[in-house]
This record gives sequence, C-alpha cells and structure tokens, in this order.
Amino acid sequence: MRCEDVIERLDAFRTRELSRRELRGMETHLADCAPCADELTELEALAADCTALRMRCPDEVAARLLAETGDRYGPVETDLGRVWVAFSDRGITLVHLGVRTPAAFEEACRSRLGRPARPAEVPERFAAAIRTAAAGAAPREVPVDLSALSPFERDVLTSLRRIPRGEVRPYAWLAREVGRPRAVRAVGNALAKNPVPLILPCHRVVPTTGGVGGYRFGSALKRAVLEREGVPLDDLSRFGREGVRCLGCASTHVYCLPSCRGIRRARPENRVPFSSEQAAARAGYRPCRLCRPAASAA
Amino acid sequence: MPEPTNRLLSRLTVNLALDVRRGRKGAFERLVRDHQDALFGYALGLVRDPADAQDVTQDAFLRAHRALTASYDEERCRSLELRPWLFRITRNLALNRLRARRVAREAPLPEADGYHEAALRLPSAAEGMLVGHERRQRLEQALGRLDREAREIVQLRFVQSLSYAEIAAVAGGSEAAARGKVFRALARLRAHLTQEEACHAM
Repeated sequence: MRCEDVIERLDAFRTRELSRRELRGMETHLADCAPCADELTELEALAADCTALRMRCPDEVAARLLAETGDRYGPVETDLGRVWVAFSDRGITLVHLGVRTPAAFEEACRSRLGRPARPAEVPERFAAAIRTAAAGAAPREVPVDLSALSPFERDVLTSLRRIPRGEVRPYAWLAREVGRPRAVRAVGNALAKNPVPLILPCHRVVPTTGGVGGYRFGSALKRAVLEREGVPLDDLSRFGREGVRCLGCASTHVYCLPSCRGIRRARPENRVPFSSEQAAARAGYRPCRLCRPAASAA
Repeated sequence: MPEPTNRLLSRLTVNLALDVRRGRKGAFERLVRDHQDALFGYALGLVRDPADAQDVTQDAFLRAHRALTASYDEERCRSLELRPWLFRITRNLALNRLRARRVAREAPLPEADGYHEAALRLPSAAEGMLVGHERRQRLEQALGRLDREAREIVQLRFVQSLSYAEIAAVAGGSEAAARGKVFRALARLRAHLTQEEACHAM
C-alpha cells in the first residue's frame, strides 16, 4: 500500500471499519512507515479530544418529554366509590379501586406502567364504561391498553370478555379457553396483573370450592361487584361446600356450570347435581354450549 | 473504538424501539436517557443556540415517540437502526429551524464563540487525558471556523463517534461518500488547528 492510500484509510482503520484484507495491508504498512504511524497517533489523539466536546442535555428536556408522553388520569365516581382511571391515546391503561389520594394513584401509575401520569378530565366514554361496570350493568366496549403485558397475559385477560355478566367461571375453565389447560396457576397470575379491572372482568373468575376468592382490591369489593351483576353467590357457595361442580337438566340432558344462565332457567325440580364433568358425561349428559363446562376436557 | 460499541448499541437499542412500541415499562424513559446528550450536542452544533437546540431535541423525541407508538408496525420497529434514525430526525428538525430563521431574517448567531458555554459539558474519560482547557478551546475555535457541513461531519464522526454507515444514514449518501466527507472535513479541521497553534505559538 502507498502512503497516500494509507492516509486516506487512516480514520477507517482507527475504528476497524475496513475489510480484513485492507486491515492487514494497513498494519503491514504502518509497522514500517513512521510518518504514517505518527499520523495515526495524531488522529487518535484528535478523536479523543473531540469526545471531550460532548454535551450534557439539560434535565428539563427529559422531564418535559416524560410528562408529555405519559398517561393522563382522573377520578370517576361510581356505586362502588371513587375509581381512579389512567388513559393514553391507546385507551384505558390503569384502573384502581379503593385508592384514597391522587398521589397514591400517581405512584401506582409509576410503578405499574413505568410512566408518570398527569391529572386530566377522564373522557366521558371511559367514565361511562367504568360507572356502568361498577353498577353491574354491561358497559359499551372501550379500548384498553394491554401492550405492556405478554401475549399470554393479554390472551387471558381478553378472554374474560367471554364470561357473561351474572355468571362466574373457575380458573381451570379460563385456562382451557385460552388453550392452555394445564396453566391454571399462570392464568391466576395473569389475572392478578389485570391493569383494567371492572373493564376486563377478572372478578368473574372464582374458585370452584366456593367463596369469591382473592381480589387486588379486597374480597369484599369483588363480592359487591358480583352481587350487582346478579351472581347467586349464596347458592354457589352452597354448591361449592357440597362438592357440586355441575348441574344437569333432567329434561334436556345438558349439564352446565352452576352459574350458567341456561341451567338457572331450568325448573328447580329438573336440576341434577354432579360432582364433576366426567360424572355428568357418564350419566349421558352433554356439555352446555353457553358455558362450555368441558370445552376441551375430552 | 466506536465500531464494536455501535454494533452492540444498535443491537440493544433495536429492542428498545420495540419496547417503546409495546409500551414496556420505562422503555421511552430509557430511550431518552440513552440518547439525549448526543442528540442535544448534535442539535447544538447545527443550530448553535442552546434554547433552540433544547427545543429541537425535545421535538425529535416526541416525533420518535409518535412514530414508534402510532405509525410504525412491529416489523419496522424491530429492524430500525435506532441511533442514526434519531440523529436523522434531529437533523431534519434542526435544518428546518435554520431555514425558518433565515426566512425570518434574524441576525445570524455568532460563529464559534460561546457556542458551548450555555450547556454543561459531559464529563468524559477523555477529559483527564486532555492537556486541558486551552487545547479544547482551540479545538472549538477550529471547529467553529468550518462550514456547516464539515462541522456536522466532525460532530457526527469524532464527537458522537458514529460509524460511516450511520453517518451515511443520517446525512444521506453512500458509506463511501461518508468516508470522503470525513476525510475532507478532517483535513480542513487540522489545517485550522495548525493555524490556531501557530497563533498561540507567537
């Protein structure tokens, strides 16, 4: 290589942005040619000096950016008390019940969404959806932002929309519905992470053994929502205690989950209790198409 | 040595773009923290006014946020070379601002002097190696005497340590063209530096 070619490639050599062959050629030349080697040393010194010209961006830039790209939030007054709602352009991002102060909710936004939220008016369609859901009626569907969750978690949470108001389902049912029948515990964890309770009705998933089970905002609140939705909690608790898992209808030979609206329409004297889906199937009953008691048990 | 660092950085930051799109916790904050100093320094070099540079930087991040969360799909975010992309957004905004300023016939800002004063200097490892204040001042003066394009190239290549490929992506043209630009800008910078040194020697 000639000195001219070497000088031209010196800066690329400095950062190793050359082909292997060129690198070798440069190295050979530089080992023998003192003036070129000096040039390289000079260039490296200059490059190092230049990095001292780097600037620090004033702190207020990041602060303003985070405030502007963050979520907004506000309170919504409901039958269940004040509910805090955070939202972004993508929809509702966080719903909290039973939080007392805006500061506490802001902290929740920070820790759960990883972004700050600033106070704002909650859009009426979001507020209406929250009020309707808290009253136990069916809200109009509103966009929710589940983008921070894993695909599995999103799948679990959006499947909740398939549980009708006034009914409840066991965890294992939901695991089956999302095609992961053995992932019952993972389903429970996904439900616990539901950022938008009430809107996505995680309260409609309860233990088969009776009782309403856990809730991020307390079992009492879960019970209150379910009662407003018309779930016959006392009957369900009794079934749970007595080991009844399904109810069959003697006239149609269809078996249901105990809270299914289908079986609740049947005459009381026609209802046949079963301890399991298998027991109902053995007795010649077929699973209900509304509540899908054994969607993939077969 | 910028190149391996760049490659590592872009591999890490490709995921960051995707994370911002998916609304991952703290992703946008990290993106801002990772790039704010570089973009601000670059913008300042172009518009030469700290308040304007701050506006440009902020605007660039807002645009990036909007693009990642609203306009780009997963695939586009995944294949995005985040760093040169951010530099390019900053560049467009800064050049727009310069154009607007020319149209408004504002008095041109003073060339070299005081252009670094308003902002804090990033403490860097190189600082210890420097002979110090005087040498940096001379470098700043020489840089200030370059034309806008050469100054930008020096800023990208030597201050912000971008690779040739990244410079091509930011300023347009091929990688080979970027090399040529760097070579010419470097020659001129060194000529100015020699002059400065000659002055100081007298």
